[in-house]
Amino acid sequence: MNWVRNSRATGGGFVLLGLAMLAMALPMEGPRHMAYGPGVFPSAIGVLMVLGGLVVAFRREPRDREPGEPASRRRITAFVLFAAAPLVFALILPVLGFLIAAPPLIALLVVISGGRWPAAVATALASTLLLQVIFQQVMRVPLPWGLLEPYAGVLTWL
Amino acid sequence: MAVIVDALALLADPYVLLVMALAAIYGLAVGSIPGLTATMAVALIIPITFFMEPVPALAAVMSLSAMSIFAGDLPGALLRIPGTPASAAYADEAYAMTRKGQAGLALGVGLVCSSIGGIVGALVLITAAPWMARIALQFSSYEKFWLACLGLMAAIAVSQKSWVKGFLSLLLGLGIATVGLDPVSGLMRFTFGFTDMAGGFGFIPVLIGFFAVPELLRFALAGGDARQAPAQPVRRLFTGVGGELVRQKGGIARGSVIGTVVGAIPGAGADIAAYVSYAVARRLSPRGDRFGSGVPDGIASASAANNSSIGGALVPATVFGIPGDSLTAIIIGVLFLKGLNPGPTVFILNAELITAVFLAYLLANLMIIPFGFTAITAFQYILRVPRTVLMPVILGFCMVGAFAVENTVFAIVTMAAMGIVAFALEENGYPLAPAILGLVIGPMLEENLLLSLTRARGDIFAFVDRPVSLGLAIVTIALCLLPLILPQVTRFKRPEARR
Repeated sequence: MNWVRNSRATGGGFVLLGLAMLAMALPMEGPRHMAYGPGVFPSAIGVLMVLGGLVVAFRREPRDREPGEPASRRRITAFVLFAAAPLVFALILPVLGFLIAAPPLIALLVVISGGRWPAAVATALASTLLLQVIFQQVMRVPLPWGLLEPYAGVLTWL
Repeated sequence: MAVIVDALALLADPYVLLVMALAAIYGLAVGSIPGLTATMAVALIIPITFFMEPVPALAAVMSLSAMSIFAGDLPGALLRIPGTPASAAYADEAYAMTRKGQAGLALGVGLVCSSIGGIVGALVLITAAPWMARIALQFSSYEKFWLACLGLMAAIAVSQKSWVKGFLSLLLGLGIATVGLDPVSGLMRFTFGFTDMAGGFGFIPVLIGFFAVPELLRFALAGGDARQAPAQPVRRLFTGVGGELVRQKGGIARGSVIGTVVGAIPGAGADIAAYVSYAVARRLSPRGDRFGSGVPDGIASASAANNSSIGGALVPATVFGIPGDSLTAIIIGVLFLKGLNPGPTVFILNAELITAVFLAYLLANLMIIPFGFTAITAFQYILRVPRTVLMPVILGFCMVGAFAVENTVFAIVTMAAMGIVAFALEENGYPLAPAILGLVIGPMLEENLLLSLTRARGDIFAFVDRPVSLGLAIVTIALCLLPLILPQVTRFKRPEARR
């Protein structure tokens, strides 16, 4: 995970975030009758963020952790898939619906984590069913039906 | 007294008790799995409690908090892997006992002391919180402003590695809290035209992103199903526990008091309470020189402390809306979701409800003994669930949970984005608790700051005009300067540094 650890980059990131907050907050105008508008508090945060970010970026960091082993390609793939899975799920959920979108995604994550395909398929199907029962059937959360919309009535009563 | 009777009636509902029992089982399961924290367990259950009535929802959270903190002891004692950070202080001690064939005694002492500590914390909460609320009613926006600052500064002061990073983490949380409607003027900020952001980032997707997603990403990078050490068998649970409890009564009482006091300090959580209690026990115990080789003295005191700290942390959380740690920050979020806005008025407007919540916490600590006993027996089965299966399923729960609360896929995107940010921050040594405290306290801080400035017509001396606000200001500024002064003092004391 050495590639993620970089105090200069995180310090710089905070400086940029603080500057962006300042740039957006300073021009904010409040209602006429109010002396302190909506930009006051975010501007103060922005200034402090810039100062804090500069301290982190330019000071010498004590090395408290030994550099670990470089991550293998398989691990990086697993990391990217775990990080991207929610974004992919958010994209396909409204189109395909929960019952179609969830199983392949969960199965893929099990396989990339080191599980075998039969276990992955069984886990994906069982967990999708469990989530559907808990959230949709018990708690009445309207999980999108997507392509299964025409069968929603039948599936609800299953 | 009438309030307590009414509150008991609310709690005596079979549905509430069933929900508490289910939450207890869930808390024991999650807390006992190494890497999954009590905070994560609570963050994951919030989407479910969102659809419940206030009493069962809050009773579930209380039951879950108490159980998951205890459950962290199980892998600590049997595998030397603390299930939650709160159990880390005495995991070595408990494991040393396990290696001597005393796993039953180590876990039995931990179980009973967790329950005793939790009960002490709950009793302090029930008696002290309404009393403090009466004082808090006298507070104006100036005192509230300083209290909010005090909570935030304490969070930074306990950032063990780097206070600058703790401060930046806090600013990030405050920054996230500014997105959406401004609490004073009602104008939109930082929404970039997205209607999904008009109400700000959803609290629950942010929480799930901060506490669950980084664990999953770390698992993915650490590689597959890392073999876990085989759990040591548990024999003769509770044998010798009675005698040990009598011998340790002073240590248990001391641990319970330390836990309650440390827990009530904003920013210091169950883990710090356990470390402080363990260190004090080591100094005061007649067997102090044998600590580390497997003596129950440290376990008794520290396990009482980590459970009592929750009760202590709930005092400022409910009276002032200032969380003691990230766990109570989430509990404050649930209180808000259920219409119980933390603050002194909650003890007037919703007296029965808030008392029912406190009693639920007391009941949860009584339930620790039978549920914990079962959990110790079942623990070896829980550990057999492969991580390769567990982690993808948890990600599934996170995604659906985030969606369920906000009913929009934007919540899933928020969760993912916050998770990646939290992962990067943790990898670079930034603590996450200040960010969550900033997110919770941010609106209160901004509102009281602007209100006070307007009332004072810009005169900043008005912030220290009243005796209480002056006292709070001094404590806050002292806490702010502490991280700067302490290293200099330590350097001055060390002779080699002077040379």
